[in-house]
Amino acid sequence: MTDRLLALLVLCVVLGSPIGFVLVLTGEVLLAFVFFYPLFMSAVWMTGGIYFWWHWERHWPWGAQRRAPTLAGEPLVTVLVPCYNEVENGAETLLAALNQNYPNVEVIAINDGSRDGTGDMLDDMALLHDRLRVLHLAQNQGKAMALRMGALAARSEYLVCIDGDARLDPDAVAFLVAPLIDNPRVGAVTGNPRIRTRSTLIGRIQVGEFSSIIGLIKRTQRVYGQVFTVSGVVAAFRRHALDRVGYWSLDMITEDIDISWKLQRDHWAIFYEPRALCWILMPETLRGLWKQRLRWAQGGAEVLLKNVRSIWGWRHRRLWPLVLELCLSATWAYSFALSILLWLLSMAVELPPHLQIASLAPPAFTGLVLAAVCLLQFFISVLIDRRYEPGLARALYWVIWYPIAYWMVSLFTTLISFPKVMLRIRRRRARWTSPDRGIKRSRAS
Amino acid sequence: MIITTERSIPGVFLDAALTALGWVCFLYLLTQGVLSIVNERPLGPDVPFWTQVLPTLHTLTVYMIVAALNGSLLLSWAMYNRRRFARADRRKSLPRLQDGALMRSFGVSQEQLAGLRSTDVAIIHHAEDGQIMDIEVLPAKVTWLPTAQPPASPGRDEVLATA
Repeated sequence: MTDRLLALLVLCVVLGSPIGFVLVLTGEVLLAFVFFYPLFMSAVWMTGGIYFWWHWERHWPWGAQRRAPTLAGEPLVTVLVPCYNEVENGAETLLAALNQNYPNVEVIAINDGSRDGTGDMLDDMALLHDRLRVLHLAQNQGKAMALRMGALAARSEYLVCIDGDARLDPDAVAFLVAPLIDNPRVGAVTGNPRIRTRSTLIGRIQVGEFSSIIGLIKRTQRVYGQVFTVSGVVAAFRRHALDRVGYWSLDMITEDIDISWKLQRDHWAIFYEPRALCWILMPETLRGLWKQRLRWAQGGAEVLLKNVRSIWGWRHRRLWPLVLELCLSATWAYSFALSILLWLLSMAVELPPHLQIASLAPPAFTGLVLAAVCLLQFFISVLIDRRYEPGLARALYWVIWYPIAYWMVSLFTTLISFPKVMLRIRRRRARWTSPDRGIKRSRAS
Repeated sequence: MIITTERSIPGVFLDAALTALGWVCFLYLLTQGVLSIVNERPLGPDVPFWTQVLPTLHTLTVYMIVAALNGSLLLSWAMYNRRRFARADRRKSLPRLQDGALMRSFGVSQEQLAGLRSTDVAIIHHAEDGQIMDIEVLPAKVTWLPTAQPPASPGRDEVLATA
């Protein structure tokens, strides 16, 4: 009951604050917040990205000079690959995991009740590869349960978790595990996902997104010291840390956000390792992108709701800025929606002067600054990220849509997901749905 | 590694045209911004240059100060942490997780854990609440048959047939 009331309170605060804002101040001030918040965040991300590069990345050799780290004691590393209906992509994922340059690797594929022949494929592969083990879950249980079973069966303390359609770079395991061995306080390391599916505009825009926004955000959060989430598609964990926090939760729609918060609440550090590359498939249709981003937004809201009661203890103070950012992002979405509503109403009826919004376009000078900041952010991200992907600058022709696409998708997914999560009576077990992995391929280069 | 599926020429053309349009809008925003600065400045032969550009510079300075403040807050925090924890291990090194803890966390017996670790292929059955009901260790090649969903409580025969 208390949780329900709390969820309603959170919803009222996030929904009500833009309304209170506009009643106390003016509609134009609300619109100013809508335009200045992205500027504000962009400045933070660029600073964080540059600092990360200046402090760490610029010292790392790259290209032909790049060397994978040597893992002290050469410990066994377990790669966990949860698979659900992965008959098309699973084999190449497992082969990439088995063919790591680091030799002491076992791979556990967890077949989560697939219905497409994945089980047969995995069994056949297990006969051919000594270091591959297969766990079949008798019924579909969801990714979190699949990962838990992998952690139980693993022979290693170090777990690298990847999705069933992701291809690890040959040195990715070494880069992911080295920080866990070298730093006792590190509980998880998140890798650098790079997009493979680049056939449609939606796919190409995301190439820019992963460099220009997600890469800079991850670097910034690492500089700050707390990470909002590890990448569910490629991350490494210390099993002892997972055991202390109860492993992945079964009822969270995004198990990666949840485990990141659980680990950090237990004072484990999470590192970002951009050299741990993992090539991933992403949605290439608007529908697929929408479903994926809605899930991400729901995941954020669920984590906020789960933590909002207990996060305010002084010992969790370092997570407060992440809570604040999450709340501000949600407030921004509702402020934008309210601005649109007031603008429409201003055209139809006579509103009190302080509620009127004459135009939704950014004031000319703000438009100029927004455009310039976008360009600057792209430029910085290409400078930093080109070492991981030669020819990245070419992909930036398509990225012009990204500022609009990112903030608009973020706007609408927040508008829908926030009330959906806050008004839900009980959280249910999160199960798989087959994601969009790009349009049907005919040519890979 | 990169997947570029062949698409219809109109589709590709549409993407390229839309993106070109996006760049045009982007440049329009930039131009409008510059024009508004130029048009709104106080004009006249007697108005000094600095008076003309001062309002713009003032606004830009405010943006720059806010950005610098954000950035310096983040950087100060990062440097403070580096200095504070430079030589301190914030956490003692934990030993490898013991089997006892693992068995308690997952509610499995030592035999089940040993069996699971020793095999290449296993089947795990769960109850509705997520508890492990049974672990089947398979010594040989199996042919996997998925169960109907949602399951009742499946028996072994329903889920696999040994080849």
